[in-house]
Amino acid sequence: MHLKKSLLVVLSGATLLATACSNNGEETNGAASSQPATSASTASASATASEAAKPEKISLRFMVPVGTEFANATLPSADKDFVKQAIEEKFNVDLKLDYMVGGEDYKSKMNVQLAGGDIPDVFIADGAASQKYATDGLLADLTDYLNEEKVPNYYKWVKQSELDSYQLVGGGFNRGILPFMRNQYPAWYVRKDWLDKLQLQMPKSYDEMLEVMRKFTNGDPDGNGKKDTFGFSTSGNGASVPLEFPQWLANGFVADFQIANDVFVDNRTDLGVQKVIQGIIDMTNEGIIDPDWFLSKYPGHLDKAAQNKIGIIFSGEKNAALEGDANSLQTRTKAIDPNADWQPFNPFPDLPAIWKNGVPETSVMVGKAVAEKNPEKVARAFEVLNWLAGEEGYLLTHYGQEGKHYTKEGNKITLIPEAYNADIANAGNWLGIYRFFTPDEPAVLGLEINDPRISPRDQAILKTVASYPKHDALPPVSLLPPEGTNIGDFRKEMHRLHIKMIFEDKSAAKWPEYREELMTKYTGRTIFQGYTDQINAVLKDKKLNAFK
Amino acid sequence: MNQTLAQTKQQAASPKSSARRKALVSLYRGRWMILMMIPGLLYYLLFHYLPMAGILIAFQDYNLMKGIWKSPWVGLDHFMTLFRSPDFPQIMKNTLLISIYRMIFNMVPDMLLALLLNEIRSKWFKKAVQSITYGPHFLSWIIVYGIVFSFFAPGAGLVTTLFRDWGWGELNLLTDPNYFRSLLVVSDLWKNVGFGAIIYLAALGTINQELYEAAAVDGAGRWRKMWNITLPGIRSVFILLLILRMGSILDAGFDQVYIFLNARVFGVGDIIDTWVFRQGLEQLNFSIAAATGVFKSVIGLIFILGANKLAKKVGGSGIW
Repeated sequence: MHLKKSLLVVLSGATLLATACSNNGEETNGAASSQPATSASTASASATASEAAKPEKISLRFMVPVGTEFANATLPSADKDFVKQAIEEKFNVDLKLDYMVGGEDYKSKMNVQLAGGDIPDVFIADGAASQKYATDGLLADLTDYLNEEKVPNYYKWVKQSELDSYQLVGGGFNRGILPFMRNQYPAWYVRKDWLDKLQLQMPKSYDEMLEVMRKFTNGDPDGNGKKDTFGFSTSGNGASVPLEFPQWLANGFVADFQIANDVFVDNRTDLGVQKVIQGIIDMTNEGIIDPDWFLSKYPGHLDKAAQNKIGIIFSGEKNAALEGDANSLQTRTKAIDPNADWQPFNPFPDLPAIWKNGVPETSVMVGKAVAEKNPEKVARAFEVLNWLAGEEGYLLTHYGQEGKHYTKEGNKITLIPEAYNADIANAGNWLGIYRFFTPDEPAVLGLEINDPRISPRDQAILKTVASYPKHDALPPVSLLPPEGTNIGDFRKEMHRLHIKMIFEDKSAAKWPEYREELMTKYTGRTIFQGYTDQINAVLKDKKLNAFK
Repeated sequence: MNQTLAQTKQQAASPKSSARRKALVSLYRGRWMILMMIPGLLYYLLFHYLPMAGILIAFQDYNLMKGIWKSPWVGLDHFMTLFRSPDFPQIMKNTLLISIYRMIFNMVPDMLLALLLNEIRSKWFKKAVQSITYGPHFLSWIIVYGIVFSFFAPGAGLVTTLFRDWGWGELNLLTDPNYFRSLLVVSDLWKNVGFGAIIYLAALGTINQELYEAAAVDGAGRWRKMWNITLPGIRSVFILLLILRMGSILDAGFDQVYIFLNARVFGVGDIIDTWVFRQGLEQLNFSIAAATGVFKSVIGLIFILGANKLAKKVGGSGIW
């Protein structure tokens, strides 16, 4: 038999299969795109008929990250999506949100779109990515769009001085700051009911914390007769050592950067990391940490905690332990174990800070190509953003519809949890997706929230968590890696070495050696000296010493 | 006058025009076939030939804003960067190893499964087995990874727990560099073996049944029949698939590897495609990514031509 003939056999077989498979792929695509299109056409028909004075209908597409607490959120159908309806009616637009949990995958998706020239009208990305876009000349100048006159509500959240110092030196005004949480709520949480069962005290120091982890691992705190619980867990996403490990703070490293003894410190590559890694190795050897932490993808460890398997976690979500929140860790754990009681604690009461204050880290941007071709689109998009940052938009995106999901008297908002849970929290918890532009800080708009779900227990928790000390890590300046360095490669190698020490070397003895390689071969020293210089440029009274 | 001129012209052109007529007639006869071919041709034109213009950016310092026409030319700089990169020897080795493993451990089982299925006489049983084995092909790698993770997670995995409970020690398949490539190949096997067998089954179907009958008359047993009729019957399909796979020898299965990869197995699992993904889409170095793509294609072309030539020499016929 000739090969040509067999090629025919193979090809005909392959086409048959290909047609069968391709149906599969198309179906999902079609389902995603068809829904906004239909709603748009009906809306536009009615709009043009009734109000001729309205500006021309425009379609807008935003690419936005959503918070990890909304990792499982999905938008409802257009008829139930009252935010979409409100925006589309008010601004005569056809709004499409591309949303995804922020992180590496988000960034990749963003980059694919930019590379393909399929640029969203407004997009949001972290500081490092936006620097790259800015230096590549992808971004439009925002002077005409982002100013007190055009978006007054935005300036309730972000100060002009912050915007100015956020811009890259010599880079023009092209990166808006995404309104950010000024108050941070980092805390460790422990299963108080497990503590009580094993007759333990709330841990007040790092050593006590480790002791509790040991007991939680070996003492069968859930009483099922099996050794299936762990003291601590976190999510390494198969890539890195999270800052959630208590060993960082135990060795004086607060969050990612800090200034100590008049020197800029990159916490994750400081010499002291040796002790941090050694601490994690010791913890691993004792078996008190969930061995799946490294491969676990966020929020995998929280899911595990909700399954009654983990005794201590770290969280930056202020709602983590609230029983009033239908989607909190507390509520989810309680569904499995009715006695579950997550309580915050601070194992480092003597430290001046356990985390940094909120800083602008995320940028709002517009593509140059979009602004040049379609300035009207950008202007309209910023009208929408302004509305989202204002009281009306804030209320709608955070609490739902007035009269239905909350009542309003002056600046006092009283929530109606039953309606909220039925329409939103238990219907995909989708409202959180629209909160991309405003953090959960009603005080900024002078609103006072009365949430009947917040029990005295929850109130106490909120108060405790808010009381944990935070500091300003760095003066307000946007740090840019110097020309010729590659911060991406540097961090990747850094993560790899951290992991290598924990799992392969099983010892941190080689860290000084590894670090030197990072500092020289991977240009770490050049990067951080560059950062030091940039900080010195804005410091008025004193100057930092050279980075070593 | 005019008429005569035209007539002479026609006469002069008559042998030629009859050939053209023939061609036209055959075109007309096959008009529906040609019409049906157009979408396929368009597909290749639009999605395979037009994008080739993008190769240009491999020789440029490509900038998104400037586009293909205005980005500065840099010649072979990006290829030099690629070959000089400290990662290059490693990703090359990983890619080739994983690819060759896949070739051996996926093609042979595909064929074996097809042979086994071919020997089954009970029709419903054959169909059931076939459906079950090719079902996993339609799962996405994300889901397959989810399944693999729940079996082999170092702490709570089903198999890991079993292993531990039986006192055989710790099992760390997902993060152990020694097992990572095997894990890739085996999970790929699980996912695709049934699907791969279909092509061999099709080839088996084309074997003339009379040959078997004649062999039976001559007193050949099952093994004899398989050795002398079945295997030669599908040999050419096997060689063909081998040649086609040669062309993609530098593709080691991005979809799967990207999802399975973690920082601990970078040394054995980082392949050209994952590297390109990082360069191109995570760091926006499009030109280096494109240069790598061109390099891969050239190697693929060489391999496919070479394999075809070899097949011609050894078996007497190639694909073209």
